[in-house]
Amino acid sequence: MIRRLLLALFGLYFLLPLLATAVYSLWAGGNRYDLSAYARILAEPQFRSTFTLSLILAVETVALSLLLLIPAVFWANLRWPGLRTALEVVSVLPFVVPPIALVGGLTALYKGPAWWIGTPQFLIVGYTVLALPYTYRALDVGMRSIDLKTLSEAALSLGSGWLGLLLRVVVPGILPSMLSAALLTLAIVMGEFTFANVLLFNTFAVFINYVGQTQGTGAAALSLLSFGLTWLAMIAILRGSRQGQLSLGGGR
Amino acid sequence: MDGLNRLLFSGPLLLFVGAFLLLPSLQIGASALSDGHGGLTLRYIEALGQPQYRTAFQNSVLLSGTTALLGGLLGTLLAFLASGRRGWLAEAVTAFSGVAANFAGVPLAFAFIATLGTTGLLTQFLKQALGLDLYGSGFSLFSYWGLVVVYLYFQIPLMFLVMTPAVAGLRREWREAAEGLGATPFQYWTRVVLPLILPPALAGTILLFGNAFSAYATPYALTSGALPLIPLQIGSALQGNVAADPQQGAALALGMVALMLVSLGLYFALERRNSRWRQR
Amino acid sequence: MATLRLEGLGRRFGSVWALAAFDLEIGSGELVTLLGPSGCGKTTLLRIVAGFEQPSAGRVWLEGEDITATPPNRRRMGMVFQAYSLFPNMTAEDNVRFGLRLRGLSRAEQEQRLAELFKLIGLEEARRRYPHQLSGGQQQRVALARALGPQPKVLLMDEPLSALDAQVRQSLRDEIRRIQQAEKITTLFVTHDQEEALTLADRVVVMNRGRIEQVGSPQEVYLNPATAFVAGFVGVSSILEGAWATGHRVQTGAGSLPVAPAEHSIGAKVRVFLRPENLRLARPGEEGLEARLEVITFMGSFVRLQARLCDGQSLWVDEGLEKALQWRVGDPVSVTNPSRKGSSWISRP
Repeated sequence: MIRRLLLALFGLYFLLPLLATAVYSLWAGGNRYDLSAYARILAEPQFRSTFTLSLILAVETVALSLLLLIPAVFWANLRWPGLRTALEVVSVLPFVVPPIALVGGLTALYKGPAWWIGTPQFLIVGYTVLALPYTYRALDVGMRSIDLKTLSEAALSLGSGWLGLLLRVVVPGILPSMLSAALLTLAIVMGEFTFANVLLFNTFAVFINYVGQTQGTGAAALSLLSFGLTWLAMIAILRGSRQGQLSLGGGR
Repeated sequence: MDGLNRLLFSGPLLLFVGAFLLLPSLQIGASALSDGHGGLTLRYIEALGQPQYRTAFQNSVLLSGTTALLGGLLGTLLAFLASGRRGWLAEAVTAFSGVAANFAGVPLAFAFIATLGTTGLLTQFLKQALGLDLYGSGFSLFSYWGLVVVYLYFQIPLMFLVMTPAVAGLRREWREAAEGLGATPFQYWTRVVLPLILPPALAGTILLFGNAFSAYATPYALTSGALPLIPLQIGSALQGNVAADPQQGAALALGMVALMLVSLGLYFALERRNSRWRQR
Repeated sequence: MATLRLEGLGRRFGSVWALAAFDLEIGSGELVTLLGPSGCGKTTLLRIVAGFEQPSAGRVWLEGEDITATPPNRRRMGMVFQAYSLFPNMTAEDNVRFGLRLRGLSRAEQEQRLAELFKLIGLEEARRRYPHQLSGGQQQRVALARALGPQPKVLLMDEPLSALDAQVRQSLRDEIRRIQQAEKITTLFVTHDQEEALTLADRVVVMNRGRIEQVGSPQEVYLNPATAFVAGFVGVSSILEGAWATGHRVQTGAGSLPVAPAEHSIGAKVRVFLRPENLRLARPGEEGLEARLEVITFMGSFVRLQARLCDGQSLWVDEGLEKALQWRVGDPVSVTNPSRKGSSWISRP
């Protein structure tokens, strides 16, 4: 049937590059195929340092995002619908100002303090903005799926303060969407290249690019690893989310 | 009392967005207009008319337009193909789309180098098995069409994700009603489906345009910043790689933001009109 | 010649026959309702007639012509679905115009037909509105106009009222009947609501598990059910189990009751369907079934009483408001059947 044929062509287009990457990553010169490229690249000290750096940045970005967003999304859903529209607009703005443009504005605006600008931690603010559309949506979906009003009123009538309410009632209720947001952010940060490259920080994606200039097979191995990581994150998100609502992430 | 709570809960986020998104955006404008000594000047904006920037702009527009149209068509086609009664297919494609979009950037560039580069798997296969010499006949992954092929890898999934709700919303009853009233399949597609699909497809294509225009990581990794595209030139200016002042980069960025504003504005305006009668 | 002849139609899914051995002839201008519980095959049958599904067996004849293999867009049948069938991006007018254009009517002819149709359904002021601006009832009326526009030979309706509110359902039901009779169009109407089926139809086809249980006028089906299923499905009934006794009576642990004449062997275990409107309550001691009143429900124009027989079974009895005033919950009563109505069937284990 023509449908099957067309789907197969699409499948071919999307899977071939992955296959080629895999094959290339296993090439060890001449006619030999083994895992030597993987061994070499994983042993490189820079692999460990850049991977760890990106991982740490991801965790910090997640923490900052959650800290900023949870109270705001909570209040928007509970008491202040007007904030909702504002947040919807805000969650779209990062698309209007793409990373390559935003980084220019950030560097021109913030020249110090040096202990912040000069360290990779400066990237966190950019990353948080980058992930904003996805983290906001994930958390908003989560908040809307629990009966926020009733739970809050119950907690307050029992004497809870706002912080207790957030920590003990809201957060446990939205754990799946928090996880979703965290995984999406992780995928975005691990793959982020634009900010890091322009600001000359050595993150994982920058490292992959650098390797690509010299070691084709090593870069292929890393690309495949990166793909595998993203797949795992996606699967975890799909398992965790009830609705299977998916959004995109990523630097381009 | 309420005002204080509002401040408390939403303040940090709004402050953050203001400080790290809105102000830098305004800063772009300010830098583009600054002469480096505290005064204002239009020369950087005027310089956007210079040949190298015009070329880059043309390239970016052409590339974005081509991938938006092609990606739009193919992505819509994929949405129709995958949104059948078989639920697992739609889910699998959706999941893959999420991954494909994230794969974009450096890993995608290398994946395509491994496939269609000078010693790529497909290149060699075509030469050895079919006698087809890609690079001999003028194709290059690092040229315009090569980029198109690579960009489609994340454009098609994006369009798929945008169009799937619209395609899924096509009710079986409409097809049957049309047939019952005497319409041939062709008439059904042209008189019922097309008018319904065109608005979201248009909106999606505009979204794809903006998406491609602002891409930085993919073309950079493929060409090390050598190809004349707007995002790459912004990057070069910011990194201080070229003789141009950083204000030039800001002017370029300002132009890009203006373009994104227009395209996203159009997208949302179209979407708002579409959702009027779609949801039932 | 019958307008529509359905000959031995059947539809199989795997090894299950969703529809089997369906034979029916429908005359010109007749409104036939297909009544049955969900899954009984009525919608399958309709879709086969419309051409959206191919039968595994049997043929469809339209005015003497075999149309079993004809594609749906050439069958000249109008179809009204349960919901969501109007094209959302077209006004009500354009929706109706769609079929007229396909038939090749000139602009002038289209306008004339549109005027006729919108007058027929009583929605002249709503012509320019979009479906999402119309209520459910209005949408279905437009759907009806759209189906009738190209002057089809047969009108097929698949539970068109099921998605509407009760009040709208009632008024639209009368509308549909009025329009159908005005246009004199042969109609096949599927529903699971027996009140709808009985009030609308010239004839009713009661279906269950893919097969026809009974075909007849609404009165026939109601008063003389052909099978136990029809007896239980059509109208409200209580079921009485007992042994068949002489004189066309049923013997239970609470006494014996006269019912409709039937040929069962004496002593056979039977199951009787008794309609509440046929039973009466009397003071204990009078001839009938010994019982005690358990529930008294005010139904608006009458009262429905539930009597628990002393052998454990219970029966519904409907009484007029005044007669019902004398009863209280807990009263001992005697349930009688002066009408001697009530179909009986051999009990299957």
